[in-house]
Amino acid sequence: MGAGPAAGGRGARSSPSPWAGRGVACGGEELRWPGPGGGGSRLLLEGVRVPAPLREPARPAGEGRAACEGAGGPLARSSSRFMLGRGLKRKLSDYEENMAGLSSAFDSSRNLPYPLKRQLVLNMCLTKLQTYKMLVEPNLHRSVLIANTVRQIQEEMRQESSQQPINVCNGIAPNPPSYPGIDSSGISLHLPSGSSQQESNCCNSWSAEGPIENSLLMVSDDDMSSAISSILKDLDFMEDISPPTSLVPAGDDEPPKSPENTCLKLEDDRQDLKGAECVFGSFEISNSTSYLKDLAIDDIFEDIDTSMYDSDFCSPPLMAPRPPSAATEETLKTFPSCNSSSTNNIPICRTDLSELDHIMEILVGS
Amino acid sequence: MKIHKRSSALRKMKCFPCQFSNTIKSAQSNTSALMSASFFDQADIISTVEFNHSGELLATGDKGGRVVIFQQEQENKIQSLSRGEYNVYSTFQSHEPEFDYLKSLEIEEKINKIRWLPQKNAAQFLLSTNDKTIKLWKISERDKRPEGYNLKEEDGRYRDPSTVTTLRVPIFRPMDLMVEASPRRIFANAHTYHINSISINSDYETYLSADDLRINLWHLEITDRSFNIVDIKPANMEELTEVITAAEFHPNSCNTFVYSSSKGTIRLCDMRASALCDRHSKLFEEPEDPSNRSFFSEIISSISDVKFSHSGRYMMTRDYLSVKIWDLNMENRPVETYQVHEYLRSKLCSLYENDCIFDKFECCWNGSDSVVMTGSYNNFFRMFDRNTKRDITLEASRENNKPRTVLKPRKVCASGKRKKDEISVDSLDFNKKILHTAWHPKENIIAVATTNNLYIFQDKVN
Repeated sequence: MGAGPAAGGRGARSSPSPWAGRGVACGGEELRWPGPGGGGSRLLLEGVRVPAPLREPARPAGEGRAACEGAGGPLARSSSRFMLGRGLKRKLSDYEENMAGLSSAFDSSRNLPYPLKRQLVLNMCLTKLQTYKMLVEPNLHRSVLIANTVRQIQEEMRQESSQQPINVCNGIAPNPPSYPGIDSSGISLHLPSGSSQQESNCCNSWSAEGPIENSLLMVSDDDMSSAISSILKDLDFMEDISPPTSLVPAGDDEPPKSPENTCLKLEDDRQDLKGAECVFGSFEISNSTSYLKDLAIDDIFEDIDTSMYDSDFCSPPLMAPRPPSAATEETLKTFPSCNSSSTNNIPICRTDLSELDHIMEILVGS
Repeated sequence: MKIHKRSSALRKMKCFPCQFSNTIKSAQSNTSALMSASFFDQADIISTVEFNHSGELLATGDKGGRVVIFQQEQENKIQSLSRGEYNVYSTFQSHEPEFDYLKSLEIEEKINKIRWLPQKNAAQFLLSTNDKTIKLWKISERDKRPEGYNLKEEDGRYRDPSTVTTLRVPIFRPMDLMVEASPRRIFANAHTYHINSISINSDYETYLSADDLRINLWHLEITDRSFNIVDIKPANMEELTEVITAAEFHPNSCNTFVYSSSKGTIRLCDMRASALCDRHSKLFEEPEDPSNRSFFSEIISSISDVKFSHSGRYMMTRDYLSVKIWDLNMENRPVETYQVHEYLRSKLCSLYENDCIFDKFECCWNGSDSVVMTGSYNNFFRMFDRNTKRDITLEASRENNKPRTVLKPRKVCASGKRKKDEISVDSLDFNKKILHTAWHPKENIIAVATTNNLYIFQDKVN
């Protein structure tokens, strides 16, 4: 009855298995867990993904882990929320039937640019953290691991941004997620309802568009002023140096811009939101630098359309909260219109500019 | 013939999910098999497996808070060359689900760990723990009972004293074997976070329990207090970057223990140095391989299990993709590293997305410390021979294996052309994972737990 000893030919490098399955219970039957389940249902139980306990809310990623017996496993069914955005080509690979989601794309595509991969991972981390916050008792171990990953990615982004002088984002504040007070302070979901609303809007809009095309430009008033002051600082800095060629927006092989992180402080929550793309920053600086270079030439002043440089103009693209896509469109719309009027458009509110204008008016007027 | 009884004190199951599953069990299954199966699964998921010191008993804990103990049949070694089979010896409900009213939290009854005490008398003792409470259980046999009481009838009713005319001495008569489990000590209210490890000291008087941030030292006789010996909780929880994932006492030195962290480090502490062992005596950490760096490097470096060898010279750690053997005398790198499922390295993002990357695999040594074993996905488990440097992948499934079949080695094909009998990475079932394995301390018998089935294998004796 028992099979003979395994021939040496099985398995190239492994030794023939000396292990015989006894799996024993009374009478030589295979040992079963003496659970309450019926015998016939046992075969169905293996491979069935146990649904989350009743007390936990259903997680969106859970749909991706539906029961699958031999049908390719959960890798085949990643959450559909991470579908690739429009306009981004998917690489056809051998495992096409498994390319259901971005995580599969991440794993199998070697040509995904690094910033995109990083953004993907960051999105996943933040989504998980947010999901954990909704649980009554999140797993501390997992939360710590995910938070560390988020920090690491943010640190990397910050280092990248600090190396590039044109970047204007007001620095990354590595805000660690607040762990729900598991000990004496009790369970606290730190999300105020307003911010969670905002966040869910972010999530929805994020899922609707590809991560590169989506640029969330949600800044508070404080951040706006600090962003502007940093822009001014950079401009001052660049008066002394010749504009480096790297100021040209990133090369053609890379997707539009490297996403930058604009951290948002929501009251005392200190939550990290999705990375924001500073369309504002790189576009402005590249143009302003050439303006600065020509500052000495008086001819330039004739081209300036002062109506565009009204201080009110600066606010609309930065105002929050708008639906991110609308903000993007508006921002993009306004800049081309600036372009049409003059080559050196700088819709930046500078006190120096207004002073110059004032002087000009006086000179012209007299 | 053996009869096992539940301890009568803990018979009732009060929690909501358990009642629900009870209802499903008893009702006719008009619901789909899939739905009823999922309710059965919850309580049946095996969460820990442990042999006792002699190997005669095998204890398993499940998600429903039950402990099932198997006993090896004492076969006459002369007659048959194979070892005895394991049969159910005792079943009892160790932990019940509880509700923490202060925090509005339900405390799971899932048994996280079972550790046996060495046998000192006829009874067996084991420690079992859930997330918050540790219990010391005494498992004793009874095969005789007294008969011939003077004041009581055989069925227990009291006799009318006026009918008692003679005196007799009650005598013990044999009865059917009864195995009783009774809780002897309950060690509670010492852990704010979830207990992940317990380990009995070699002095057999004390033991440690470790949760995510703290390790406590207990005396087996004293339940109302414990000593905190490690505390890594930062003053500000937002600065938390590391948690404790496993801890174990040294098998020979009663003052030494190790604990592993989520950052891939192991700290060895000496309790003689100070009362609070916050400063480690040794720190075991391997520098990261820059060529393997990815976004998930930290997550996969988190150690899920640490086990000392029986000799006490080495310890083994399990992280997500590998098993590492450390020499206690060398801190800067392990002496041996074995890749368990390297083919998953290119799938880390998907595994992160479906949370499989957080699975906590355990590992174990064989009795002579020459072979180590750990689990993987698709109901595969792996064994690594440290001397011959050979490894083998086997599968625990009922489809291919009748009892006494020799297991066929399996192979996973990472990429490229799939040979016959190989399985490609994408057809692995990540729901079928073997997290818990145990090796008999003296013989080549292993216990492998799939999600809700227990397999016991032994090597073929020619």
